[in-house]
Amino acid sequence: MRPPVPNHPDDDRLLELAYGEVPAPEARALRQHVDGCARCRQMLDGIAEVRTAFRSIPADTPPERGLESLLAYGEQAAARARSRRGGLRILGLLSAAAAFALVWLVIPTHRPSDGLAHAPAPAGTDMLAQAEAPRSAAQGDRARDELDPAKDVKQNERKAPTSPLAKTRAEAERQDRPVPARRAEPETRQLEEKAVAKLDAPKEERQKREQPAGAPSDVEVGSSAAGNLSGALAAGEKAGAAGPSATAGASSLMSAESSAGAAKKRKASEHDDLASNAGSAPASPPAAVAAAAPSAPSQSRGEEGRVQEAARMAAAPTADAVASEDKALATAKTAAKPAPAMQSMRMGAGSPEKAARLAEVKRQLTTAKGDARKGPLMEQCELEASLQLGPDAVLSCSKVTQEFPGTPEAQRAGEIARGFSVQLPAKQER
Amino acid sequence: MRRFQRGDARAFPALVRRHRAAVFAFVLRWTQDRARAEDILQETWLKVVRASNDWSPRARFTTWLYTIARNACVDGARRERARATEPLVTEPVSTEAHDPERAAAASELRPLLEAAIATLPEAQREVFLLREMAGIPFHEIARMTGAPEPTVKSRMRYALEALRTRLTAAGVDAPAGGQVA
Repeated sequence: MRPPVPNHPDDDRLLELAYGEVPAPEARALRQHVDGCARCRQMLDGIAEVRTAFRSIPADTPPERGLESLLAYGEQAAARARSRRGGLRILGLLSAAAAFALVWLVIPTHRPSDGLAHAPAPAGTDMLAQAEAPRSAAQGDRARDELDPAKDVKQNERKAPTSPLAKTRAEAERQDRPVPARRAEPETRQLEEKAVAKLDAPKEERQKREQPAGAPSDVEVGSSAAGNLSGALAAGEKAGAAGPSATAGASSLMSAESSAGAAKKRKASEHDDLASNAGSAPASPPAAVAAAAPSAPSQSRGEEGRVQEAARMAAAPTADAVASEDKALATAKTAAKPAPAMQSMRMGAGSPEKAARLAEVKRQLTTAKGDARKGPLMEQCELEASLQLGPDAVLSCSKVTQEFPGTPEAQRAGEIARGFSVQLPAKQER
Repeated sequence: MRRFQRGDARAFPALVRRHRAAVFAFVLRWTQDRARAEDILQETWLKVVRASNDWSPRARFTTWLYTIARNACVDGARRERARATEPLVTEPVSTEAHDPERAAAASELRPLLEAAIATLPEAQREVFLLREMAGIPFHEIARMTGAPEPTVKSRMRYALEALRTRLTAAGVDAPAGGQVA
């Protein structure tokens, strides 16, 4: 039995040494050891013998057969790669342009839905809406146009965003009708205050939402539009909508740093996310944009289905809650204008606590039965209303009125559902 | 390879010129059958073209190339075993019919060494050929084959030991003491 050698290197290390895989300083130390160690030298010599013998064999000549076709195949592949790269470059440019355009389009498209939350309209937008509205358009056409997202997009491209309140008012004025917001204002304010009171948001945060910087004051709105719209506007702000103004839309494209308030900042950050995605992935559209772009029509259709369901449920048993099915449908469709992704984005950006609470309530509702459903269902109705999830709120409120008719909750749910009618065109409103 | 990925038509012939002979030698030693080796060689390069977009500059091209060749050899051997018409490796490779001059120059050593390689277990032969012929470091062989690095090294040591024993038994005195690395 061989006595152990204290500094004997590992066989694997010697193997690595033979194949030059040991770093130079360590290799020097190992070679010093090998020079004085018969066993290690023998092992290294054995490896070297085999390697030398193996390398003495002349290399085999590969066959010529198939070489020509292989090279031709490679050339074809290179040509394909060239064209693909060219195509990808074009695609990258196109997708970047599309993403940019989409960001431009999505933000204003999103804006009318903020109007659902009675977002403040900048002073003078009523005038703009009036100036832009074609006086010869028939009422039916206008209603259809309102429900047509593509039309919205085109309109948003053409003009600075106006709040739906302003839009509705403009239409009402065109038809010499009273402004619908006046009627709904006290109800809306009352409902929104109730909804806000139930939430756990800190008081400062609520105050911030009530006074978004850059939003026109009640006085300004009052001077340019109907003075009594301010109540509805304030209620909308309380609900955390903090809708963007026309100037917010423009500034959000430039920089988040130039934001003048919480609403603007949130909007700008949403926008910047999309823009940075587009920039970082030139070859393909950013996930959010890609997901939104092709599927937008189907999402709208899906939303419309939900909207119709909401309208059906809202109109059926409680005629006092919602005046007519048409009314509910129009309300819900107005609410459904933003894509669901944008809705969730807005919801997440606005009130994470509310969103979390809403999820919790929905979970409760999956198991609750009978009277146990009343509380959570009512809470869902109120939360969705305060989160500006129009169709969802109408749907859940109508469930309350259906499942618990004649109760105070049903009455409150009816009021909430009616609160969304603020956005209805005047004809439907009446 | 990067040039080829970008669509440079001259890059691929350059790659083929540089690596084809070595890959063929590797495949031939593995399969011990010239006809099969030629098929696998062609298959390997076709795969290189088809999978060229998968290659990333982070990986050495030779490692990637020999991984493809090795996989083609493994698949070929599996197919052969499934057919089971003849033993996988029995006879030493004879290249005389294709290249008589070179075969003559190889003298006695070539058939002896090839026979010795042919008798190695497949796992040892694989490691030996990848390290000795393709020049792939042990840690990369471990990644290619999915075996732990110490296992790869021990397989290599066993292969070297077996080859040395066979050569010694055949009376071949290879020049000893050379620092081949």
